[in-house]
Amino acid sequence: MIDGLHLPLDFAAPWALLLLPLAWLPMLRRRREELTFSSLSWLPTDRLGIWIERAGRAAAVIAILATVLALASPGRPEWEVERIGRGAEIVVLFDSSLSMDNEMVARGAHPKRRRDSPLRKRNIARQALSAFVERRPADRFSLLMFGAAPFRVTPFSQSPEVIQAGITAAGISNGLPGTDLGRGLMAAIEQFNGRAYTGSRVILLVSDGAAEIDEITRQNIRNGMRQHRIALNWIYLRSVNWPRLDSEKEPEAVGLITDVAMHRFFKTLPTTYKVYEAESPDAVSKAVADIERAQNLPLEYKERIPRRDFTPYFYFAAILACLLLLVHRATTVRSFAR
Amino acid sequence: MNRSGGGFAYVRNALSGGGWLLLPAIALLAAAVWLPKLPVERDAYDHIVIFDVSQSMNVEDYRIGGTLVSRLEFAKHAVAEALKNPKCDTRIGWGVFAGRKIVTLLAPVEVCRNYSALLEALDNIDSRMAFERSSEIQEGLLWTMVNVRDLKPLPTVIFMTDGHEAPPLPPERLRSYDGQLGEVRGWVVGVGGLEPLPIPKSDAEGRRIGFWRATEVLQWGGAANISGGTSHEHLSELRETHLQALAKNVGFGYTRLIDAKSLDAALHDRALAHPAVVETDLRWIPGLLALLLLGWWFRPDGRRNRPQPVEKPA
Repeated sequence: MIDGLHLPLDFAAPWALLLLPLAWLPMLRRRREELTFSSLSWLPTDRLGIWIERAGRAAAVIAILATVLALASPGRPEWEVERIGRGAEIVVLFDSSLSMDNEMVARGAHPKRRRDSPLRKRNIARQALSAFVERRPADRFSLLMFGAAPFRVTPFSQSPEVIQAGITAAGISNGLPGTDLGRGLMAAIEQFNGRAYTGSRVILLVSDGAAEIDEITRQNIRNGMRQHRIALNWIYLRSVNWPRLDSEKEPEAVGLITDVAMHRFFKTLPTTYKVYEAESPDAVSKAVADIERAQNLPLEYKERIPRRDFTPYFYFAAILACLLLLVHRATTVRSFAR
Repeated sequence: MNRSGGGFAYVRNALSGGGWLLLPAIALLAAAVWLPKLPVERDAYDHIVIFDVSQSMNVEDYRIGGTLVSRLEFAKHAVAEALKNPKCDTRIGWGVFAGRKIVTLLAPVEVCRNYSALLEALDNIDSRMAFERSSEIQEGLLWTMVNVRDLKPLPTVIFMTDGHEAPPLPPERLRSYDGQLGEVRGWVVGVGGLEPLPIPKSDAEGRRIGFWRATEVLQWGGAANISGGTSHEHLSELRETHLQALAKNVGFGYTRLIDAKSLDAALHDRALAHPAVVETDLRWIPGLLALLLLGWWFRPDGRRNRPQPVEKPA
């Protein structure tokens, strides 16, 4: 209750406050409860009696007041407290290009594009990310999609519901033409602009590769990653049986020219970079679990304390006032008749 | 006072003269304290709002407080206004349309809890999201009918566009919807003024680089009139008849976005509601009854209440 002191009370149903004037009713004199004396001046001043009378009226006023306030549903508004937890600020950069609609298939097999296929890269990424977000309530997530241009879906938010909705949407979305990873990464870096450094920062790239980045953009990305101290994790949705990115063979020989070039560029980044080459839904889940272990540094975060409803207390106060009123009535004479 | 009754006399005294009315009042108040939330069936809405982000939506023919704003800006503004009094049983999500397809940005989420996050996401929507330069509205709407089926539960669609097909739609390419009418329900909301205005041209970063000229776009009047074509394709106005036909084709309603209130018809269309069991706070019912009792008990004397005749002291 102490932390409630510096926070205002709010009402979920403020229109009920229009009934507040009713609380004045007991202050009006009512003849039907008056006693008739032949001579009032004959009576001595009854101090105790006056106070008992006032107490009775006060109890009546409180009973009505508390009921009206209870009807307006008083409570302490939702608020945030600073906490130190373990987690990270994570920008999920979701490759939404057309190739993400393909199934993950073995090398040489022709990938099909079936919307509801469990092997569809987009679906695999969606499920793994969704599970990841669900397990990390302390993290702040921001979601971006990219094709030829970046799509800023949500800025940093701690509402897991909204991030999940974004991941769902990305998972069912139509593929975007083009794969401009450079602009996507720059947009992801920009999400950290103007944010105080509160803990570990990560860009989680979910992509099947095949993107080229020009030299100027590369330099901008290096600078941005250094300035904002952002680590990069790449969940590389590769096809089964392809050589690994670090393979000794020349990229031309393995047929992954752009992917290997991406990987080599990422290795030159001034901050931490890690690639998770995932070639099956299981491997994607493993990669996500691995990131989960790695990104567990202390992080300042705001915990939302949901609105607290005080309505029952007010009804309870009204009950007490009514009981007091009964006691008051029990001990006073309101009529000489029986 | 009858003293022989002992404690009972006090009780009788307390309850006499209408005092017994306090007992049901207390009982009602107690019910209000301990009444849990009860499941009540109510109308609930599940919308996905799709914004056309093509270049014609940059035409500035709306005003917000005297300032000219683009069609897209006004469409966003109207949606944000409609969210201002959120009904907690409404879920809403966003998508954008360009080229022939839609991109879903946010699956519907509950409005009350996620109000600020929804507005932030809405704010991010702009014409830079146009992933294609063309704007084939008929195709976009038909694709929407397919795409939204991936969302569970199936939402209703609010499709906000000016109806300007680019390139113009040849009449022979008008397609009728081959799905089940009424399965996916929704509204087409016509955005834009009726006066043809030049369309701002912008580059990939959203910077304005003048206006589209008559020679830069495909013109198509005459036969294409029925499919929304005109002989001034470099100018854009709300193509209402075309949109009405498209809406009818997929079994949607059509309404025009005139002011921020126009959306109410679409967003709170009872025909789009689905019954949802909502845990509802009903404590106000016993609370209000208790208040009525107390209020009636403390009612002031009416004029007809004359002074009581003098009673004999006991």
